[in-house]
Amino acid sequence: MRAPSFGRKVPYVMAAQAQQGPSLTDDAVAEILARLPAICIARFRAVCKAWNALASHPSVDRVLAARRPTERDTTLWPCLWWVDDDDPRRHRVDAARIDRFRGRWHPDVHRTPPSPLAISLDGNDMAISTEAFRSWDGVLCTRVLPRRPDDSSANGYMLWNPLTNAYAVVAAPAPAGHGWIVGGYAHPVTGRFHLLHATDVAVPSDNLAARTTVRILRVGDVTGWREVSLPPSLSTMTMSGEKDRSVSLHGNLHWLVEQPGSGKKAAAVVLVFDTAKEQFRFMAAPERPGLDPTTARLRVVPRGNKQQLCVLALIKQQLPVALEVWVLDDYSSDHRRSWRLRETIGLDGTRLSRARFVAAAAVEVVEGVNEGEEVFVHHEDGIEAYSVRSKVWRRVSVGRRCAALLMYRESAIQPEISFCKALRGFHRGTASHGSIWHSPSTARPDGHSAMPCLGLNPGPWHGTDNGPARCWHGYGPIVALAALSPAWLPAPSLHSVTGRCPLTLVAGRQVPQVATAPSLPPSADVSQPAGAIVHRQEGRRPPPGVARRAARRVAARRGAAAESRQDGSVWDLMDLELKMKCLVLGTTALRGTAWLALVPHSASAVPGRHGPFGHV
Amino acid sequence: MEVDKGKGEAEETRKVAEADRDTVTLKSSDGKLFEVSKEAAARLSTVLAGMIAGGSIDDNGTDLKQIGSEALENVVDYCNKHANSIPSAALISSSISFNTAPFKEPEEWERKFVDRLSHDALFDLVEAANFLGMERLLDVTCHKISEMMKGKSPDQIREVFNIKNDYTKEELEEIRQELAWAFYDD
Repeated sequence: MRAPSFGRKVPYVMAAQAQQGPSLTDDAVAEILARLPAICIARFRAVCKAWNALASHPSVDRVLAARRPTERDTTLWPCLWWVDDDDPRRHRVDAARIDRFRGRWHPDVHRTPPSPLAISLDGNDMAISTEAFRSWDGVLCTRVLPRRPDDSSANGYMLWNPLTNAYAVVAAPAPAGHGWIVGGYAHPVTGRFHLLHATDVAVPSDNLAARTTVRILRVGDVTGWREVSLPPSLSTMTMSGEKDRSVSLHGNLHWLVEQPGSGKKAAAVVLVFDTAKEQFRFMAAPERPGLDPTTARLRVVPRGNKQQLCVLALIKQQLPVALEVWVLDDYSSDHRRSWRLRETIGLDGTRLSRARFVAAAAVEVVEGVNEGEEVFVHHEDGIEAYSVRSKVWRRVSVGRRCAALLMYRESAIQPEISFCKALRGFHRGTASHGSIWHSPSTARPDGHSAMPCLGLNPGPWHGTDNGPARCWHGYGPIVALAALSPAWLPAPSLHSVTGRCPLTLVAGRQVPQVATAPSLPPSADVSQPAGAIVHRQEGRRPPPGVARRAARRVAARRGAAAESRQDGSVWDLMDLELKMKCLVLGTTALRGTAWLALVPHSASAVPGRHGPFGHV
Repeated sequence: MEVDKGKGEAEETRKVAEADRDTVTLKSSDGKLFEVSKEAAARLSTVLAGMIAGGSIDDNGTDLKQIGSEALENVVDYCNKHANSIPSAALISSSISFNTAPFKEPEEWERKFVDRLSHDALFDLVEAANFLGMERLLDVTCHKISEMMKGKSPDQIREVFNIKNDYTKEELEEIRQELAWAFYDD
């Protein structure tokens, strides 16, 4: 690829010299880009072709992946997610909230506003399971459960990219309710998200381990789940609980499993899934007698500019109990020799016992800003953190409602992580219900937070450029879009953005009774003209098909709309624009499919209807 | 006579260089010579450290053909300032933890150091730092540039960096739609 050249402003006489003069190499531009917040990187792809190529280039990916967190722009998020529910043990909630753990190591805990991310499924047939939140390549994944036990069609998995707010629900492979997601990745070339799912068909009793089936799903593909073969020697494997979460590094997924045929000695081996070739293979694990693959955790630790695989293990029959940290120094060469014991961490002074470590809900290694690497163990009694640098365990205090600790790493390199058709959601009947970000905690400055509100993800980047995060949340449920009424819309003081209004509101007839209801009854037929249609006016290229249909509808209603437009004052429109954007982000990250996002979320609750635009 | 004199001078310089081993002489692409303390060079630049260890340092000026005199002057300036700014006792520990330590905000003198540079000089310095494997300098300069870029629109970036927009209108529209989430503010 041609090295992108920063053109120079040079005196005329020097122009000739400047043409062949020094230009920034890819490496240098990548270094610079990688220091920018994700949103800037995405934006600067519009600068020129060379930058576009570079921003999507693996070199930026690498730099970003290796980027060390800086004060204001942290890519590495140890996240606490908790649930908006009084009883977290119910394990199914309407909304899950995630906050960056700003704990002790964040340099400025008190001045940094919390940046809660929240997602909720606003459908009536699905609830979010809080049991197993996982994160791969910047995408969070959890199970969704049917609200009615007999409704197996609502079994599935929710994928959410908090960076773009893209969101998808995929159906679980049959038989529903069996197995679990063991891995996920964005394809290194296409960016399409994939999921790996494992089942061992029923009866996971102690000795009768059933054959493990691993299935893969290209999210958004109609073909659904297909089986990938495990190495022949590995017909069964125990991947359950927190350990089943694979870690991704260098385009591969890794699990620590029991070596096939090792009998009672239970030697460990690393199972690798090559995401490009879609093949499994083995890699050596640390050769440490007593290392129990069923309790040890495989993680990725940052190491300088690189990342390393690391195994955290309690060694059997060894006293005093200590946590050994093994790291793989050289990923590409002889693994057996490259594993190195890096730390032995004593558990004195903690409430961690062997049993607690084994049962721990999360074991994570993170790199903080000031305090270097820390090992986090979330067990039944709280979170213990060990600072590798100062060699001391401390307790992390968190709110009581904290449900889990989750390592989440933003993946800015691939803003186009794609869920493809799964995102459109409305195609799939029960598979999805639009997307709403339910953030009850984020009160607007005017204190107007009584209404369940949704909003743009007030994610980390909003605060990075221009001071504190702008308050962009506080909108009524999206049904307000379908039945617009001033009573619904928040005060115009929300944001002072003016002069950008690429939208025209073309409202159908007003439906006040709907407008004042907190949410649309599921039976309401929003596919009828009560819905407002938001129409992009500027010469943007409308997505094919969708836009044509929408345009026809718009044209058909234009007459009626002109009369009812009195509500379409500027701030209405701006709000609508934001909402639309919010929806755009929520339902699709695909190019040009923004229109679909305008469909009210409750539309799919109507049998046989798929939103005001019909099947698109 | 002339020849002898030249030889004598060369010998003399060599003697001086041997006696004065704690500096290295670097030669820019346009032939200017700069001296920098060996210790600082080895500590701050992985490339120079390798050259010093490998004995490929030329006493009469190690050729750095990729680096112009202006940039090299800045590099040397940076090395000297860096050597002065940290007490030597702290050096060892800081250089060990350097690779693993997270990027620290530029210190005051580093900020001043990059602030006085013009855009061109800054870019040259990035290249030089990249070429010489000077991680900290690269950090500091890239940080400065990224600070300059934050919050700017693509148009402003093109203006500042004098980049030609080689997109067609349609292409630009497409990319903006694709990245709609990044363009709230436009």
